[in-house]
Amino acid sequence: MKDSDDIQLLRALRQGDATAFQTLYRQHRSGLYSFALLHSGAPDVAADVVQEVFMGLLSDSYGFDPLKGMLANFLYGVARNLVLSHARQNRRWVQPTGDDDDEDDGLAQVIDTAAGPLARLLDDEAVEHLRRALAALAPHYRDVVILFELHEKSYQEIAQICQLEIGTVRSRLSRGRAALAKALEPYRAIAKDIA
Amino acid sequence: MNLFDFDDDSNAGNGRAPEWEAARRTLAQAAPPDHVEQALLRAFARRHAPRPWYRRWDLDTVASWVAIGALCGVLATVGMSLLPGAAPSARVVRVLAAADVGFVSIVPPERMAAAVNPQLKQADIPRSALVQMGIPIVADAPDELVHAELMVAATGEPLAIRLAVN
Repeated sequence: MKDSDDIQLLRALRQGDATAFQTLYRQHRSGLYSFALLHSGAPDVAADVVQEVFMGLLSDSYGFDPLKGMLANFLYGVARNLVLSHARQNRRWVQPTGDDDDEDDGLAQVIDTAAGPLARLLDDEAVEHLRRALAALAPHYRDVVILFELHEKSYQEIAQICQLEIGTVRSRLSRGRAALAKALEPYRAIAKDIA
Repeated sequence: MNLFDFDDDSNAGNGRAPEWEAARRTLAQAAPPDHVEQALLRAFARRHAPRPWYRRWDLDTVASWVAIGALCGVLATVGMSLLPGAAPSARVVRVLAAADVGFVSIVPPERMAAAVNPQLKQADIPRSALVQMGIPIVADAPDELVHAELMVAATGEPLAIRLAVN
């Protein structure tokens, strides 16, 4: 999907074209939902985030400026902020203190890593392992890792979405992936035993 | 592909872990529940609902139309007040047509139009009297008589005056 198409759809929806709004929603809902789902670990939160993202787009309350970047990346940025905001409100995890990029191992103290509704939703053991491992990551690593690994965003795009310097993206990605691999080790060991 | 048959190098952060491949496959079709889309479409419909005509006008538009209406009302009232109560007779029309050139009205137009059987009269009038009637004439010799034609109503009331060329 080209950004110019997105802009045309956005223009049409602002003129009252419901089909354009529906098309735009259907083109981006899956990516945004996946991102929010893996980030929050809760399908209901992910659904709320997607709804709120598009409500904001509908009311133009986020002030998207096409000159500043692609609509898709803008939507991911809004979704990220909403997920983080929701997490802060619900204190699903303990926020890391001090510098975001200090020498921790990227693991945050997780309050709830047990399989929840997502486990039922994702009928795939490997994905469930991934979800649990991601839940063990600090949110600021989780953003970058999900965007890079799942959505295959470039460093530049991740920097735009997360409002970070590219160097910070690079370092967070490196540490986040290492931390994720560490968090996945127990599951992989089990998988190897089974195999 | 066995999801759990991976090489360890990719797990150290240098490649894509197989769990991500599984996630991509699984989440490719993931979507929010249908009620999200329905709620969004309802919100869209509310936001772009056609407004009744009286809500399409903002305050400025309404004020403009009110001003235009008021002006039209005033003009209509003035125009109606200028119309005679009844159509003038054929003779009045003829006299008015004959008097149309060069006469200066000295009564309001409606009185002239309403005059019955007006007649033209010849008269010599002092300059000072002409000045008092509002005729633009030099009054350096107030007592000098000026020959004029008067249109006079049947009641004797002078309606209009035209100075005769000497």
